[in-house]
Amino acid sequence: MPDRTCMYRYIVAYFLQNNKTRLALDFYLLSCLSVPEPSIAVSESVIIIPEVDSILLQCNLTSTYSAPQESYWMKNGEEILGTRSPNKNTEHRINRPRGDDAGVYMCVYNFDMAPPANATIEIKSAPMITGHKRSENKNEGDNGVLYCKSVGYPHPVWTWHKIDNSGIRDFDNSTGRFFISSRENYTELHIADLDINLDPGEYLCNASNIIGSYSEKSVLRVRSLLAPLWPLLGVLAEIIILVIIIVVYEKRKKPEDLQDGESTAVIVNFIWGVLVKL
Amino acid sequence: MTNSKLKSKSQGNGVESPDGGWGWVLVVAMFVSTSLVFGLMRSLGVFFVEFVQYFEESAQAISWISSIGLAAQQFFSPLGAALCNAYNTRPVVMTGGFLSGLGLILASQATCLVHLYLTMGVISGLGWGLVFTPMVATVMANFTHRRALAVGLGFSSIGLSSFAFNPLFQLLVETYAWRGALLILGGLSLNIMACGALIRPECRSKGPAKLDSQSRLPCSDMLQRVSSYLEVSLLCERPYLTYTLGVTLFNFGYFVPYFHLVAHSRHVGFSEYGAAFIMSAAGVTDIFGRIVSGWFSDLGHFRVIHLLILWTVLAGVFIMLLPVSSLMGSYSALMVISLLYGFCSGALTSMVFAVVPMIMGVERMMGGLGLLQLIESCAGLLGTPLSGWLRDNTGNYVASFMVAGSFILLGSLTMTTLPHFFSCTDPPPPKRPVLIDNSDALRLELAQKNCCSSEMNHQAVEQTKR
Repeated sequence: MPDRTCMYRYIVAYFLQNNKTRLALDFYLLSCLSVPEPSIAVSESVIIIPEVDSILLQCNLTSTYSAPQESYWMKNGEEILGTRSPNKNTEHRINRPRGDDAGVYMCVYNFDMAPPANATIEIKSAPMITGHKRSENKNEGDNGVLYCKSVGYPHPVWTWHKIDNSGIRDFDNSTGRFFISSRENYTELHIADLDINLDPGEYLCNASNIIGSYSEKSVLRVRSLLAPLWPLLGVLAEIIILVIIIVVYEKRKKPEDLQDGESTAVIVNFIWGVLVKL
Repeated sequence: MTNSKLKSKSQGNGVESPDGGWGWVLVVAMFVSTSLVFGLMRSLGVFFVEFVQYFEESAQAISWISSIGLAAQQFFSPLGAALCNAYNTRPVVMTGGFLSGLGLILASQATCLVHLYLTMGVISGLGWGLVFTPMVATVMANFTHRRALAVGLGFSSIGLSSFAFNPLFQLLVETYAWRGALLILGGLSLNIMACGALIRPECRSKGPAKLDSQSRLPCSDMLQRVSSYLEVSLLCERPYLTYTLGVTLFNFGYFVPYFHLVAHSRHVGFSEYGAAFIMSAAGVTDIFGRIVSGWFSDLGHFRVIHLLILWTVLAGVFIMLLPVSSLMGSYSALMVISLLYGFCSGALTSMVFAVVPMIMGVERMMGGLGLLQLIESCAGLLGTPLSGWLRDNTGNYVASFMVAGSFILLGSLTMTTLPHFFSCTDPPPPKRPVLIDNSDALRLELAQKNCCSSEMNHQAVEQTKR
C-alpha cells in the first residue's frame, strides 16, 4: 500500500473571549489527499574497475501523483549540465569511467505541486594518486612540504610513512617537526627545520578506502649550506696552481725564449702544412 | 712552401711577423676566456628561471641583468683597451678575470634584485670588458698569416660552451641551489686569471711613444695621453668611421634571429622541441662557419674584406629568406635556411675581427677594438627591441626579419665605400700619426732598446751563471 502524504490546511480564527479578541491558530485536517510519495527504482551502486567500459545509471519514477516537470542528475551536490529532461525514466551514461568519475550521484525530479524527490547512487572506486611531488630539494633549516592528491570515492584515509633500509616504517614525531594535514582528496606533510642527517630519504603517502589503496613515493633531499664551498675551494686551488706553474715556467724559460718559440713554430707549421695538404 | 717562408721571416726579426709558437697557446687562452665570458653570458637563462621564482619579479626585470652585463662589457671595452695601452696586457686581463669572478661570488649573496644588477651586471660586466678586447687584440697581434684562423678558433668556443654550459648549469643549480651554483661559477670565472697569466709581457713601443717631452701643462699632457691610449684619433679617420658604421648596421640585424627564431618557429606552428632543435642546429653550423671561414681566408686566395662582404651579403639574404621558407610551412626548408644562416653568421664574425688590423694597423688595434665594441653596443641594444616592436605592430615576424636582413645588406654596402676596396691586393695598413719631433724619437727609441736589452742582458747573465 502506498504511503500517504496528507496535506493539512490551517485556518486562522479570531474569537471573543471575555470581550477580548484572541488569536488562535488551529490546524484542521481538512482533507487528506492521498498523495503517494514518489518512489524511484534505481540501478545498483557500482564499483569502477578497469575492465568496465561504461556505466549506466538509471532512475525509474513509479507510483507518483503527477508527471514530473523535469528531471536531472547531480554529482557530489553539483548539477551535471545537459541532463535535464522531462522523462519519468531517466538515465545517465558514463563512458570509460575513470577515478574522478566516482562519487555520489543523485537523480532529482521536480514536480509542479509537490516537493522534489531524489534518489542516490554511489559510484565507488579505489583511490588513485594523481598528483604528488616527485622530489623536493631544500636547504638545511628550511621547511619542506610533500603533498599527494587523489581521486576516488569514498574519500581515502591518508597515512605517511618513511622508507629506509629496513623497509617501510612509521616515522616518529619525537622532535615534533612533522605535521600532517589531510582533506578529502589531498594531504600534505610539513617538515619544519630540515635536518641533513635525519630527514633526507624516501617518503610514502598511502591512500586507502574500503575498495582498495594506493601509494606513491616522494624523495626529499636536503642540501647542506656548506656543500658548494668544497668545489669552490677545489677550483681556486686549481687556478692558483696553474698561475704558479705558468709564472715559474716563464721565469725559467726566458733565456731560451727565442729558440723555444722558433722550434715550436717550426713543429706547429709542419703539422699544419701536412694537414692542409691532406 | 709556407714553412720555409715563415721560418725565414721569424729568423729575421721575430717581433714583426709572429705566427704560431706561443701564439697557439694564446689561442687556447682566448678559447677558455671567451667561453667564460660569452658562453657564460648566454647560458644564464637557467638562473633566470630560479630568480623569477625566488625574487618573485617579472621575467623582464630579470632579463635586465644580462642586458646590463652585456652593456657593461661593451661600454668598458675602450677602458680595457686604454689600460692595456698604458700598462701591460697581463695585469689588465688578470684584473678583469678577478672582477668577473668577484661579481658572481658576490651575486650568490644577493638578497634583492638590485644587488644582482650591481654584482652580476656592473662588476662582472666591467670584468668581462677588461678581458675580451685585450684577449682578442693580443691573439691578433701574435699572428699575421694565420690570423683569421686563430681568431675563428678562439671564437668557436662561444658556440661550444653554450652547448656545454646549459646542462652543466642546470646540474649545478639542482645540486647546490642557485646561490651555491653562482659561487662555483664565480670560482670557474677566476680561471680567466690563469688565461691572463699566459700573456707574456712585451717591450711595447706604446708607453714611451706617448710622452710628449715639451713643457706643457700636466693636465693637457694627461688628456693627450688618455686620448692616445683610447685611440681617439681613430675617430677622425674615414676608413675607421666607415668600418664602424658598417659594423653598427650589422649589429642591428645580427642578434635578431637569436632572439626571435624560436618564437617565430613556434608561431608558424612547429613544436617546442622542433623550434629549439633549429636553434641548436644553427649553433652547430655557427661553430663550423667560424673555423672554416678563418681557415679559408688564411689561404690567401681572396682579400679578407671581400670575404667579409660575401659572408655578410649571404647572411642578410638568408635572414630575409627565413620567414619566406616558413611561410610555405615546410620544416625542412626552414631547417636548411637556418643551417645556412648559422654558417654565414659564424663566418662573418671571424671576418669582422680579422679585417680590423687591415683598417687601423696592428699597433692601434687594441684601442680601435675597444671603441668599436662601444659603438656597436648601441646597435645591439636597439636592434632587438626594434624587431620586437615590429612584431607587436605587424603580428608576425616577417617584417622584423626583413628589416634585420636589410640592415645587414646596408652594412655591406657601407663597407664597399672603404678605400682601396676594389683593388685586388691589400693596401698597406695606416700607421699611427707621429706627434713628436725627431730628437725625442731618437731618445725614445734608445730608451726602448735599453728596456728590452736590459732584460735580455739580465737573462743572458742568468744563463751564463748556470
